[in-house]
Order: sequence, then C-alpha cells, then structure tokens
Amino acid sequence: MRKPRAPLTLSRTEPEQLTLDGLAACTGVHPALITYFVGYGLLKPSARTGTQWFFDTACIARLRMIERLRRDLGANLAGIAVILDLLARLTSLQREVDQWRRRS
Amino acid sequence: MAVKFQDYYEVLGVPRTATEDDIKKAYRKLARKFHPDVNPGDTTAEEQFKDIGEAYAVLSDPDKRKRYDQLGENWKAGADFTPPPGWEGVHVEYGDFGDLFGAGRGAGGFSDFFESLFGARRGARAGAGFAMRGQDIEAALELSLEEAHYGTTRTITLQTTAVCSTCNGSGMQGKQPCTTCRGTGVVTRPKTLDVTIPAGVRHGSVIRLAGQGEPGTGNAPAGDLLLHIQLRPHPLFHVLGEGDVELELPVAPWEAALGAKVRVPTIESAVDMTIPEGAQGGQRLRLRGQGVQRRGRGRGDQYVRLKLVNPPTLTDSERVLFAQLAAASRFDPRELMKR
Repeated sequence: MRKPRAPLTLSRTEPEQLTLDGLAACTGVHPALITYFVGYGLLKPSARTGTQWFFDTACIARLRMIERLRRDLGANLAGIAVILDLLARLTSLQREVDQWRRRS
Repeated sequence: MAVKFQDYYEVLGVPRTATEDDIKKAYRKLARKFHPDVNPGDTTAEEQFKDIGEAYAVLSDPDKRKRYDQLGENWKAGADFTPPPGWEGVHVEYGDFGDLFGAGRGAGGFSDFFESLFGARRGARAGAGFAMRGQDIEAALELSLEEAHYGTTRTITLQTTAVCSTCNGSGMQGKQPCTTCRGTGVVTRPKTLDVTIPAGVRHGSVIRLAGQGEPGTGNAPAGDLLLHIQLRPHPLFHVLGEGDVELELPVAPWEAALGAKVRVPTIESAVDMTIPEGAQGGQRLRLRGQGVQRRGRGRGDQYVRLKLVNPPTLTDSERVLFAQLAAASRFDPRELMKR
C-alpha cells in the first residue's frame, strides 16, 4: 500500500473567547444545560458584557469532562463539582511537588 | 485478520454466570477506579478503562452477550482469534461508548477483536446514512515558560483518521469492501499542523483548532483539535499564579547586611534590583511588571526571594574579617528563643 504523505496544514488558532452559543455549537451541549452548569458553578464564564457570556477555550475541555463523568460514572452535578475541585487541587499540588523536587 | 481474543468476563472480574446486576456493579466500580479523568496522565488507566467499557458494552447488552457466549468458554485471553464462519456481515448497532479522547485505537475506540465480532462502528454508521459531527481530539502540548511568554509556532504531528479517498467513505468498492480502508470508510494517517501559540498562554490553557479533529460521518463537520497547554518546570522561575513568577536569588551576607545593587534575571532580560540594607534571608521583593505575559493584560510580577549563602570556602583574610565581626557584634540571632 502506498504510504500517504503527511499533508502540512497551516492552522490558525481560534479566538479564545466563545459565546454561549459558540460553546454549545462546538460541544453539542444545549445552551440551556450550559446555563444550568454555570448556575451550578461547574463552569465559569471568563467575562461578560451586558447579557452576553464569554467562555475560555478551556471550558470546552471542562464541559466534555463534565459530560463524560455524567455518562460514564453516573455522577450527579454535586458529585462532579467535588470531583472537579479535587482534581484541580490534585493537579496543582502535583505541579508544586514536581517544582520542589526539581529544585532540591 | 487474526485478532487477540479478549475475555470480557475476566476484564470485569465476574464469573460467566454473573447476573446483569453483578455486571453493572462490577463495571461501575472499575469505571470509577480507572476513569481517565480521575487518573490524569495515566495511560495504563486509560487503556484499562477502554477495555472495561468495551467489556461492559458487550456484556450489558443481552443480545451481544449471547452472541459472545456462543463463542464458547475455551478461549484464552490473548489467543489468536478468527471469527467463526457466519459472523461476517452481521452488524449490531451499539451505543455511544468508547469515544474518549479519540486517539489510540481504531476509529471507534474499540479493539479489533470487538470489531471483528460486532463490526466497525464507522462502517455500520456510514451504511445507515448516519450524520454525526466528528469527534474532538485532545492532545497535550508541552511548552517552556519562555515559549508561553513570547508565543511560538509549533509543528505537531497527530495520528488522525480521514475519510478514505479510494471509496470516499462508503467502505465499498462496487460490491467488495474497499481494500484501502478494509471497509471502514476511514484511514488513519499522520497529520502535521503548524500551530501558532499566542503569547500569554498558561498551564491549563486550551488552544482550539476548529475542524482539525476527526472527520464527521455523513455530511457533518469535523471535530476540533484541543491542545492542552502544559508548562515545563523552569530551572530558575517558579510560576506562582497568573503571570507571576518567583525566583530564588542567592546573596552574600554582606550584600544583605549593607544593601546592594544586583543584576537579576527576568524572563526577558536581566534588570538591576536594589537589595535594601538589612535584608533578611527568605525575604521576598517584588519587581513589578517583570513577570510573564498574560493574555492581553500585560506582564505579571516577578518576586525575588533572597537566599543567604556563605562562601563555600573562606580565604584567610575572609576568615579574619568574619572573626573580627563575630568579636565586635552583639547581635544574637536566637534572642527570641530564650526564656
């Protein structure tokens, strides 16, 4: 079989701020559900102008994680909030430990 | 094509006589333990989670479980497996499982063993005229602190699936399965992308490349590529918060005691800093606006933590001077400890 040559594509990075509809479009989660997640404190808009919310691209990954935890583990929103908080703490501590280890 | 037999009962740790309830319980327990989101960066957990998901996808469905059980009990996990005659062309619709992270296994995230039994997901879907947006690909991108500060361009190579050009994604050449993609309608191939990283990304930032993920089925758009930025630890600078860094600066005892002007490295270039008279070891000084770039909000601050260091070996004259100082000084560093 002919080995396909790797095409080189020049890529533009997308704007880092997404509107509610933009976030809904690229995650496939309904805007109303996202609004609900924001109300629950699972997602935090990085900025808002008037009634418009803006989300960081990191929210895409976070939203996907929320959906995975809901689907795979059957966790409820309170459980997911705890998982996300603990994971954030775990990763920042791990980073801290790594930094200190490198220093000493 | 010979594939390795997988013992789904063994994966879930249940006997072949287990009830649906037992299987569900075993799955829930293992899924919690090995979920990739709960074990960040652990690739063995991720693999295990996929195996568990695959096993559960088969055993939780009475129909599929029956078909799996028909294979008999004599198979050993890992043995070469060829589906018995009569399996070809039987496709079972199955749920939306195993689409975690896209990368790794074949298009559907299931093993070749699974696909030889129940058919490839994409093939089955494409045949049914199903349109679904392509999956997002998530990947980690490691940057140095300097690269995050100035912004950079990175060339990354990913294994992605693309619509097979021989059969245009149908999986068929006339009446035969397509030979290029073996009937799946997609081929895996490396894709190289030049990605511009803007200045001011931080650890945990996500960069989105729209439409660079897995291709969609039917006429649906492709998914996105999400790059998770990870900062490599820097030999000098310790990242504190957004844009703020800390540097440990060694100073001689006399520099701390008398005050001094010293050159301090920052992320961009060295700057002059004044150490105040009577500075203490561990004291933290701030260089405003000399930290790393933040997105659109200028630079953070650099903190300089003083570390008192003595000469490793003293020359004779240094020793004499220190002795004179010791004799002349009435300073008692342990005064507060006295009762």
